[in-house]
Amino acid sequence: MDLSLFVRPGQRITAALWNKLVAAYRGARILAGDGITLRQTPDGTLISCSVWRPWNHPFKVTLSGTSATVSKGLINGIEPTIKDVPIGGTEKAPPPKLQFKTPKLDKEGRGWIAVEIVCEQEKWTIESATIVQIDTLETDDPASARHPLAMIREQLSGSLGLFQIEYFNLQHGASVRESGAARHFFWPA
Amino acid sequence: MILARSWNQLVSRIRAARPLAGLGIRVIDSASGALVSAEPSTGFEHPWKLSVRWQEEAWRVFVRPGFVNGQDVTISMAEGEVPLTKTERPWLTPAWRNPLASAGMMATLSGELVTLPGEGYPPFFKQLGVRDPARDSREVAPFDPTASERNREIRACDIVLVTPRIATRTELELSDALTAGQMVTSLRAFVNDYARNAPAKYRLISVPKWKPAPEPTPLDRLLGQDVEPQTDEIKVATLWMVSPPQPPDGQEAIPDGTWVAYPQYDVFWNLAHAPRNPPPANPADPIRVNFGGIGLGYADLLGNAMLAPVNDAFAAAARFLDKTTFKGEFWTV
Repeated sequence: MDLSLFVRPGQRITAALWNKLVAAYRGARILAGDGITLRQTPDGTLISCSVWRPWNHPFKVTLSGTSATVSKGLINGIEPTIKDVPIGGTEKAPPPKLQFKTPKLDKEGRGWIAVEIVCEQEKWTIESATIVQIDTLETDDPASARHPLAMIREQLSGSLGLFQIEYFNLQHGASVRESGAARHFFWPA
Repeated sequence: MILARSWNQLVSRIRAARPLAGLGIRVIDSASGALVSAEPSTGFEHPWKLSVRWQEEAWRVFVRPGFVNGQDVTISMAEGEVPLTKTERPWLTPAWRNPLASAGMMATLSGELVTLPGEGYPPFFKQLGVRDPARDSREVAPFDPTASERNREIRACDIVLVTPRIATRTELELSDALTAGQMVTSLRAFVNDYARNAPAKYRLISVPKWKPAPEPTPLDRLLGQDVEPQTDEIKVATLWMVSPPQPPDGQEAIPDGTWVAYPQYDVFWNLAHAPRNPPPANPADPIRVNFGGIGLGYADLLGNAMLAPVNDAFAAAARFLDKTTFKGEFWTV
């Protein structure tokens, strides 16, 4: 703060000094930034800090009983679908839910919410991308691949625990051998 | 008429009303006001986040679940390998290194014994009052008025993710000098002892100081002495522990419940890992001659013996050029 605002007895309060005081007063106002809420009271301003804030990142999986929703995310610019509806929803349809009456879990009680892509086998570009609930990330078809978005794991209580794996939009590329076998790579976009 | 005293009181009030940044708060001053924000790092629950607790007279490091290729990562416990996602979370028991201690002694060519400098620590800890690391005995310590006031100790350990991989090594076959002209054949051998016996595919371990396993150099490959490590490793975090001022055991102090933990992360996101996985290279056959039994076969033998140096050089060049390796790479997803 500008200490020249303090005056000596007899010093004139000039317009410049007055304007400096107004600027200092204006600069001392409290504005709410990220995670902060302000409440003005006659006794002062109550500042509250919200430590935990949800981060609505791409492919965020939310589990509700035996259904899951996945927030909008893209692979090579393509939005995956659930029952042919884009995961972010459309103007006519709300974001779809992935229903699974009994979750598919492996022998260790783990399953995944994943995006499954199918590539055409000439340029290896993505033909379709769908959200699936599966108990293995392996596929038999070299043209398809699964990328995990979240792991679900059976807890001691019997409920399902959710562990988010993917936080970003994705890029995909395939490394194809002469035999026709392909290795699929995913990386953040 | 405004009294100077009243004016100054008004200025003091405005000055006192300015918000100052406390713990976890950031303040950005501007002409139109002071923007108060919560620090972005506060409460950021990323994969691999460490939670360090003093329990049962020991430090335990709990790790927020992180994934490699979408798979669980485990920690070795008494009952076996326990996934980080299990309800009863596993923990690491750290083994500490002293970054302040000298790295050892060294004799110079002139016979002088030199004390090597300590590893040191990030500058942040100097602000907390951690004492200086050991210096190279040949260096003159710069004047630092705060040095005598800084008397906290610091210890550290590294948290490392380990995954087994197939390693390769060169094997040389030397044919009989009398029957085949002492020809050298270079073969690529694949070693999977650790990959077959590893307790888990992706494991977290705690080591006092992590160093990347050395990969064979081109010279090693040229000489046929290349032996690859059987693991791919990546450092996840370094855990620094800072003592209270003047700990009772001084430089021999071991972290106890009075110390404070400061994790420093190398990895914030989940990982993917893939080996390069090239097709195994077929060994090149040495060049041989066949004169169809002229001179009772001695012509073949003589010809092959003459070709032996050429085949040696060929095998060495093949070893050098043969980049067959299963070394893997990690990347974030």
